[in-house]
Amino acid sequence: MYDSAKRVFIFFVLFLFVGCDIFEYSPYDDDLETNIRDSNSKNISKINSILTETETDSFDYALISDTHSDYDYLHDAVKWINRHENIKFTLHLGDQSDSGLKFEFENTLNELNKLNNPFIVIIGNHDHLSQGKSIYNTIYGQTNFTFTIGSSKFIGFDNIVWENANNRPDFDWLQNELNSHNGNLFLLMHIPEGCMSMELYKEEYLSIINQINNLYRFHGHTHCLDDNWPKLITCAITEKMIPVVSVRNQNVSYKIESF
Amino acid sequence: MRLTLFLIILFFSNMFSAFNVTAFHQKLIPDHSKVQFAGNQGFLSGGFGYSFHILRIEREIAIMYGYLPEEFSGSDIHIFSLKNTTLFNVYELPKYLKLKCSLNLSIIYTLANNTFTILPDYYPEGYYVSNSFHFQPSIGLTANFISKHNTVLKNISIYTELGILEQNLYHIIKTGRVNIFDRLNMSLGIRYSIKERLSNKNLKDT
Repeated sequence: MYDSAKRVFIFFVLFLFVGCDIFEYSPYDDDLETNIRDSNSKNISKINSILTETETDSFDYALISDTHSDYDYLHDAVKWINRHENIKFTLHLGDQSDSGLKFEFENTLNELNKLNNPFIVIIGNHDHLSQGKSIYNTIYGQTNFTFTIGSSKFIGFDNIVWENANNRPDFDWLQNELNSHNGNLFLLMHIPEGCMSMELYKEEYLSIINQINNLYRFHGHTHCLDDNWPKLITCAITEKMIPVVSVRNQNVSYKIESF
Repeated sequence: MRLTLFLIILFFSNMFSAFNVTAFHQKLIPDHSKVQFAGNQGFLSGGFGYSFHILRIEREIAIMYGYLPEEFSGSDIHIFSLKNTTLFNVYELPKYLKLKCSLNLSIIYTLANNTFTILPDYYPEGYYVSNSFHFQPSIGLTANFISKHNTVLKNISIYTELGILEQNLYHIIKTGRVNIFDRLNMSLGIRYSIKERLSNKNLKDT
């Protein structure tokens, strides 16, 4: 009997000394186990260093979205992307979590880190829940950001309304960023304008984008693939489809691949 | 501030022992208080509980309040939990300790940034389910100090628990990509037996 007691006691003591990470104060805190910080800007630098001078106007990239807690599907998608060397980077169009909890961000990050090439992640409505925005800011950086590759400009725009305390998205910033570029423009924004949460701002948003040429808009959120090129809604990862976008100077096209 | 409030409540729980209470009132008085570190119930949590037996199995229910300051979480977090404990398998290490294993289930309600029980008006009905509630099953080990004399030490026990949040458990079951050992969490706590002390004091008074 004492042997059993000893075993139970040793089991607990061992766990106690495994490390301080074993103590969790709340699922809502933002005390992350990962040391990864400002991932988006680091990966933007990597993209520019991977692409040689001739490739900066001729490259392919993959779109994934709404991975939530479907880590098996994400794992398979990562393996598929890694097999295709033409794909220079991956854009995650938001909703990497179910409830914006730190361990959900970390689980997704564990899978995305297995990508051979860089990845950029934008924020989704589920990622805004709880402390999600603060965790996103810590791991990935600002929710509104831009980067350029050759003559292509990418704009990551946080258009979450309800989960962001019913606040108006920063359309002034968006308009400014859209107006300051003449080449290809890629707008990465989780919620498409047809959805209910964007209803209030639909007219304002459309009045901004209607003035812009060479604008390609990529979204997630609805979980269903919807092609209204140059607007493309990427399906959830569970649909096992990945749009691969090809940029050849001013010509932009895409192909849906299955994994 | 909140920690001070908690300590005041804990102090007053022991003040019950200063009164000559009737048998009915005695039943209402919690028979133990607990202070716990971590375990998804805040940095520090505390509360009161009742012990009882069902089918000769020792059970406890405790109501606890926990707090996590802004430094850990970006904003203050308040946690209310209902902790259900089943104690079994008593092992005795002569002269020193009595060890009990426990199975626990905590229902955790959290007030934190962007959490809700009822959705704000601007959401369509049923858009999200409440994200304020969580469950945490855990196994525990409690050590009671053995003392022949009626000392404070006799009423104190220390415990540790190894638990996993229901959402982590869901991810582990749903997908093979999450390691259970990465998601287990541990807590440490002190349990103080109020009623035992109370009955002993009443006995002395008579």
